[in-house]
Amino acid sequence: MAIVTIFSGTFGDEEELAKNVARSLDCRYVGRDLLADAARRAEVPEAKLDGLIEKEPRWWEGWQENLRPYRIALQAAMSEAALAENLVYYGHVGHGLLPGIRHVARVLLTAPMEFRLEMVRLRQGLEVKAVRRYIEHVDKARTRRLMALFGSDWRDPGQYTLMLNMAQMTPTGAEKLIVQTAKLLDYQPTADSRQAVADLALSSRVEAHLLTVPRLRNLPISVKASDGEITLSGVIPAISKSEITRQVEMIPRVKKVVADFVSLYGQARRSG
Amino acid sequence: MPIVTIYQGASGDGQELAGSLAEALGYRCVGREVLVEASRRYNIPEAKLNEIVEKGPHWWEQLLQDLRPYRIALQATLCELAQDGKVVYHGHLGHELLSGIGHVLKVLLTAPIDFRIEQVRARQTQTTSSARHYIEEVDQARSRRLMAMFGADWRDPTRYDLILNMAKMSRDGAKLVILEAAGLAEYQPTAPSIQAFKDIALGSRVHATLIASTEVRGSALEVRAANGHVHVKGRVDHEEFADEVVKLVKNVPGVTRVTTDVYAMPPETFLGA
Repeated sequence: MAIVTIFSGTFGDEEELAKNVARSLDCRYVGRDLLADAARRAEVPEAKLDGLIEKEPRWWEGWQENLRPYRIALQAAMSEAALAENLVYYGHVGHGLLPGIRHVARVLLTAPMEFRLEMVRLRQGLEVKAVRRYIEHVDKARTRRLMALFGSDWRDPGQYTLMLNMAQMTPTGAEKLIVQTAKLLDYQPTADSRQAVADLALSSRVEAHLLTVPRLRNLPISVKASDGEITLSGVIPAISKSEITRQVEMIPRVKKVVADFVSLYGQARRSG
Repeated sequence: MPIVTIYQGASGDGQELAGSLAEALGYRCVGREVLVEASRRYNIPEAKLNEIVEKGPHWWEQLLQDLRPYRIALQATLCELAQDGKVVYHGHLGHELLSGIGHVLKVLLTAPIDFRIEQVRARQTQTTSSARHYIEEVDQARSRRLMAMFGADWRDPTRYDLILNMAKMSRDGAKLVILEAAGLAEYQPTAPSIQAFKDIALGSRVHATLIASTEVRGSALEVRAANGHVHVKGRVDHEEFADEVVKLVKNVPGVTRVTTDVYAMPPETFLGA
């Protein structure tokens, strides 16, 4: 069965719809608990991670805040969950967290501005002008944040399998279409796509583990996994190489480590 | 079941999908027929209509050319062809020509640019760069043309009910999802949605008839239809043309009552000659 990610953009809260899809597909539902798991892995308070994902980045954050650790923590949490069982994820980061996995059906729920204005107005009891300002602010914040996190625009239709316009479609109708899509042959896991999830889970686990070692946390290490074999690459201080390899070898499910680093001797001498 | 409109950009096998969907629904599949039929019914040269629909407008056209008559002729024709509600339309106009009708399921087939390039390259044996150039050219021309005709961007996802990514879905898969959507309660014809369709059909038929008349062609008229009652308002060139408007409208099948709010003003007056 497919893994399903549902993102309602800034249109509205469709958590119940996602839970119903999970029930229909007899899958685990994953929502905010992914955030809690990722926060634990990144060793940051959940509120901090929530703020990083939800709020608009300030102009100075482009220099000061590196979002890579948070993306790694989220990806590790998501890929571990996907490895364990079929799941339906609802939230705004899922579509970017399982790149290259064929049996992930990514769904975006959308609606025209006028419809969204009316929905938010009814929900929050605000005036139309204030609602429009609110929607534009949230849209902008989310766009900039997701761009910083994944390097892509969440509004690009090319990222999704299915986009549903909720202006006329009911949540029950949307649920039926998502379930139908998840049951398509195109989205059934194959041996290769299952292996791709296992590889992604392992490489994310390695990346997440390296984040927990203070000396290695900020090194630009690229990690690739293939059936238990980990290939590490990057330009790093020479002194770190053996420690990185040792750390990675300790991680469960790692069978072999191939280090393909370029050493920075100057820095190595300085750090030594 | 709803009328289905399917649009796919300058690549892909949307026409085959539309055909197989029509077969599954027991519908007719129409595309270019709308153009040919509009040309025949309203005496517009097919080549002209094709140019209007397919090619990007030149910058000066926005000042010189009124696209409304073509839009109205196409809308009237599509409404006629879809009268029984059993139509899958394949092309880039249907979702706008039938917008606002509850029992029209509007589908866009999309795909990332690299996937589309590969499709065009394979089908037309072009190089990658010429396939990219072709796609960008057609996309841009259609964007400008549809914006000029309908004031809307075809790439706006909220213009459709359902968008399917054909890079991530097989044709059979897409067909199953569209069939499921076509069966949803929210897209089934209701008394108000059928009436809305009839009103648009009658309004555009009346309007197209007025535009096809040599006396009234130069007028600036708006037409509204509601349950057989047609209201025409705007400007005609000469006083006697106001009576001609009423006569022409009365002769259109389906019109039960005509009201007008028409004033006469010769073109030389408002052109300041």
